[in-house]
Amino acid sequence: MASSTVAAARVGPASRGPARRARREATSGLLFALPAILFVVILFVVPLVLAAWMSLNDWPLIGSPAFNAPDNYVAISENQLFLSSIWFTIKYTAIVTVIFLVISLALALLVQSTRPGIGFFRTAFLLPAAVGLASSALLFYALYNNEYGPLGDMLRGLGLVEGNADFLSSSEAAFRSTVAMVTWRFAGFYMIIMLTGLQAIPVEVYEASRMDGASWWQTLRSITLPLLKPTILLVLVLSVTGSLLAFEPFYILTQGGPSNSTVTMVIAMFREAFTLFDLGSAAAIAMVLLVALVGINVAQLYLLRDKDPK
Amino acid sequence: MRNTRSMTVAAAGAVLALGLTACGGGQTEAGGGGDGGSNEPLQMWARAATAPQSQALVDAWNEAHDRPVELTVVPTDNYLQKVGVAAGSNELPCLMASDVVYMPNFLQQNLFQDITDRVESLEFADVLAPGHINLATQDGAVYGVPHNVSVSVISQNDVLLEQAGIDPGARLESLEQLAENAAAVSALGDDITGLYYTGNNAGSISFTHFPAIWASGGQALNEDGTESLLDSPEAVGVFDAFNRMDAEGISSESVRDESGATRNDVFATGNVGYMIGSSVIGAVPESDTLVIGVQGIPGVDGGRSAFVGGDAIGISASCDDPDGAWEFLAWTLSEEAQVDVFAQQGWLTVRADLAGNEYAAEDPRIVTLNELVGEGDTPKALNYGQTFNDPNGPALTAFRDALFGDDAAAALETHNGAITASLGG
Repeated sequence: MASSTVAAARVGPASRGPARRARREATSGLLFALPAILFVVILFVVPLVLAAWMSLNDWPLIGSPAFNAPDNYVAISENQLFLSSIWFTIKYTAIVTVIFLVISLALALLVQSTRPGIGFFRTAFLLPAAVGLASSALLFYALYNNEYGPLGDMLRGLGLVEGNADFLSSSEAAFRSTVAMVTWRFAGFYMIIMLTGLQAIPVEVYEASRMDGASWWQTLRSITLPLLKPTILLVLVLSVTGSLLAFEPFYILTQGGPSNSTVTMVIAMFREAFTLFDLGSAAAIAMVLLVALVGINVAQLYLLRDKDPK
Repeated sequence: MRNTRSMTVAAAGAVLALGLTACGGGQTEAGGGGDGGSNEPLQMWARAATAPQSQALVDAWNEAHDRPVELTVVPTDNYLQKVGVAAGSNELPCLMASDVVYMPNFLQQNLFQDITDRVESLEFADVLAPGHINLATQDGAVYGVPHNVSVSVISQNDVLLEQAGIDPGARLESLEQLAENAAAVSALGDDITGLYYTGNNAGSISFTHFPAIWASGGQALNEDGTESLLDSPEAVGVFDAFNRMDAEGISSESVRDESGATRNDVFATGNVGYMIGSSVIGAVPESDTLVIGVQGIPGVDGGRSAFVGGDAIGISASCDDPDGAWEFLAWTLSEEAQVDVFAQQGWLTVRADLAGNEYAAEDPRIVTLNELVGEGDTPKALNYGQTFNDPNGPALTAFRDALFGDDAAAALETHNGAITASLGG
């Protein structure tokens, strides 16, 4: 009994020491994190709350706002331009994501080795990513002009088209031309991400597969792609999110035309805000987009999660 | 232990510094509209698209006057947003220029002070660009004056015209004659285009085609800007004429895709006979193969007109020194400013009586442009911007169907109601 009392007396101060240290460390940690928390709150949470509040109001660009919930959300269901833009944006996202995955992986495999001169190709493929998206779109807009740009002449010279090449005049051509421009702009960027994933795969695994006599295709299918899954997932999330929010390429190249056939969801939102000056409706569309994007990304991460616990 | 404490203090210091920086920023930004006191600079906002003109006026004023004007150039696409935010907090600058087509929106929100008496006291009040004064007027009261002007014209390559046997100095009498001449230029070679304009931008099409309607004796909109008159015989006649030029290959196929971004570059190749848009004098370099001439935009059977764009400027409702602000505004309209600042740089004057000034007289093309400022018009509608500057609205669909479809009259009749609805009629 006596010994236990002594033990308890000894344990008391000793146990308060670590607890106090833990509290102090927690306080220090919070203080260290505070600048980041402040930035997140000021730059993300506050604007988000403001946008949510804006979506509940009739908010003209110039003039006083007035609470009108849920009119802005109801109006979305009657906004034909936005509704038709949903299917178009999904179609665009699906197509460019597949293209990005295939081309970026192919390019990464191409420049994976360390042969002399390979750096030139890596740089060349990555270079378009250094050009601003709007600048890229403007560059291609000039290239696609039959009176001014060289592309039409080149295609005619190669015998691929007769007369004027159709780059932006029809819905299909406008879509193809924009996808081509976006692929040029982003393929190198995603290639670099794929390349880092490829280089993280241990060489020993490839050596083992060679010892087992695996073909190139078997190695790709059974080793490279499974081990590249986290990288592919990253590319998928980045591409899907970016494509669902596509704006500049279409806004500059097609302005949503011809005949509103290439209007994306963000163009429809931008129009509400800065052409029709209805910030409330635009904010409502933004909130719907935000919820949809979060849902899509959660679904992607869930479906592609690692199902084999280590 | 000491390390932990010192790091904690450092982190707290960083947070405090951040907070102080934020507070400091707030204090610096506050009070943007305060122009009170005779020695404080007058604040002025202008959009980037026309900033060179505004800057030149401000620089010339500041050189010769004690009370300086401080110009803030706002990106053109952000101008309305910035005005909207500042208006909400009563922090508008004393002097606020605006794309003239948006003046009715600003007047409706009471963003400008009534300057009727001040404007009427000017000796040259009746020669100020009439379109601008009209858009700056509400219920008989004037709230703004022209700040700078631009006009829509037909630019021509005199070299190609001469090669096609056309006298470049002869005035275009009608759209029919424009079509004939452009066809003759187009026949010079496969690479040569007879006519070029912006065909994928409703704002640009209204800038280039409305004057042809006015020159034909018609109107594009009713008087209060709430009803589209684009299904009228005059408007249909204009679009039908351009539709035939497209069908006959006189105007380039690329017109359909042109949003305006490469229009001047196409004309700069020297392979285009006529181009409709804002003046390219000074913007496109001339050469042995490209000598630029200008023409007013003709109607179907005659006449000529122009869309007078540019910026109007007024004294904002937030300004507490309207006398000081007016002193600057009145000076910008004076002969000294218009001739010695604007005309000297090749820019157009906002006063018709100065059209033939000493600098313009050296270049007859500038005289023509200045004359067109007086002859042209500017449509007035509260919803003008959101109707005709909307790439996804009914106006662009109507224009494109009328210009490039099978039947201009049917297209305009079909879409006219939607345009009227957008105008708020």
